Amino acid sequence: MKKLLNVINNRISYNLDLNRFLIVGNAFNKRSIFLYRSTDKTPFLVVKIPENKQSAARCQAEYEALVSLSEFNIDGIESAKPAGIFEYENKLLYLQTTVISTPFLSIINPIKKRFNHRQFNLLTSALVNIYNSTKLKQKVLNKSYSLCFQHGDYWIGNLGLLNNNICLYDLEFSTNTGFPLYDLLHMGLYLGVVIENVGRLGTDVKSEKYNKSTDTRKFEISNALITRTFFDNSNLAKTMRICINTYLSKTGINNNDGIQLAKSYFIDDRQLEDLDFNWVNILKLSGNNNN
Amino acid sequence: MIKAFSILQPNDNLKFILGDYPVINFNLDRSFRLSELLNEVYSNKKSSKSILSVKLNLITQFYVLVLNTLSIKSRLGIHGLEQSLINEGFNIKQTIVAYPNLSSARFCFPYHDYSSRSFLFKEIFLPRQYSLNFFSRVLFKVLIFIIKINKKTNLFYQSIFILIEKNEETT
Repeated sequence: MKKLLNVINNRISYNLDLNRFLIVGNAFNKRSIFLYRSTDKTPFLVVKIPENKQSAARCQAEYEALVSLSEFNIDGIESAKPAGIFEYENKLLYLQTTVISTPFLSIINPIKKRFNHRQFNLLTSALVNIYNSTKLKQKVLNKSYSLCFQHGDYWIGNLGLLNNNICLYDLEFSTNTGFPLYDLLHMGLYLGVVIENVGRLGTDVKSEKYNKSTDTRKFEISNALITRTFFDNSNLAKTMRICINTYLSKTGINNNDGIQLAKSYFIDDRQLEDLDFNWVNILKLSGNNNN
Repeated sequence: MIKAFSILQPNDNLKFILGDYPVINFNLDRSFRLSELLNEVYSNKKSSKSILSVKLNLITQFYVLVLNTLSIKSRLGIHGLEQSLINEGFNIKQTIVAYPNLSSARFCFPYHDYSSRSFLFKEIFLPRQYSLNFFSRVLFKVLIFIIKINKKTNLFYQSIFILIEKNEETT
């Protein structure tokens, strides 16, 4: 690996400290190496190294998204800057700068389940800004919205806060021709998943005894989870419905289209079947929305 | 005792960082015998380099800490082990800390790289502590507290890889 680090150091114009590095991997057959400049306490550069074709496609998509975001220059949005792609031993390496922010997983406390509307407002406003800055000129036929930049995995684990700006991380599922509202629904849905998984891991995760098959964390999306996240009278569901209404009103998307988008997010994008909801209730701000 | 030693298939990250060399797996606790480790290392005829995959337990580390405080040298800490190996004529090429454990080294950084450890704990582990149960969360907070007051502590490292090379005279 020393050879690789030397190659990177020779290719870029920064003076890297090669005695410090953090390797994070091997999720989805992709490895990330965080590197430091001699003068910095936090990493300055990330090198992403895909190990197969699928992960190479994801790295490529993320790199293109970073290029797009730099070009869009969206108000209130921060992201890493693309720093080059180069070949090393028949593999493409993707370089990007790091942005250190306060992770939203620390800001929104899934353990206490008390949600501060200001935090959700920030996350919703960021998505409104993204829509307004990246929407295509032409609207979708017979609809009140256009296609726009979609992060694709907009959940609090991939978001940070830096000087009141939202930092976007892990853009490998993003697209410039995505659907509006999907990211907001994704954020709510996976906050529901995070809440489901509070307190499920013991110290065994650090030992050799850890067995994935006995891991009690739940990642599957159920009718009950969607109800708790969007439709019932829980704090989270009420907050999410306020966010959805705010998003639709600030982007000028009409309610009918909003309801259709919500339905298609769960059914087409998440590929969930047997959903039985009165979808109109996803916009209802008061009263009991149980189906 | 010899059962504690076994040749492991190195996992991907390990191979990536240190290279594809035979891995010798052992526990660095009070039952550890340097001579048995050396026998294992010398039995590797394929390469002059070997990777030591070292598992440390917390009680032994406290024991080493107490000995160090009393200025008594011990082979049971990583420094003690490295020194013993150097005395036996080996070069220590690199020492890497792995998380969460030796068989799944998803996060790796150099032993003396406190910036990476701080980044890993603050930016990656700390935000994800919600999934830990109450006991693990308390333990984790104690660990964070200790790291805050002593930035250079390595008391809680439990999975270490050491790349060693036999000196020509040794071979």
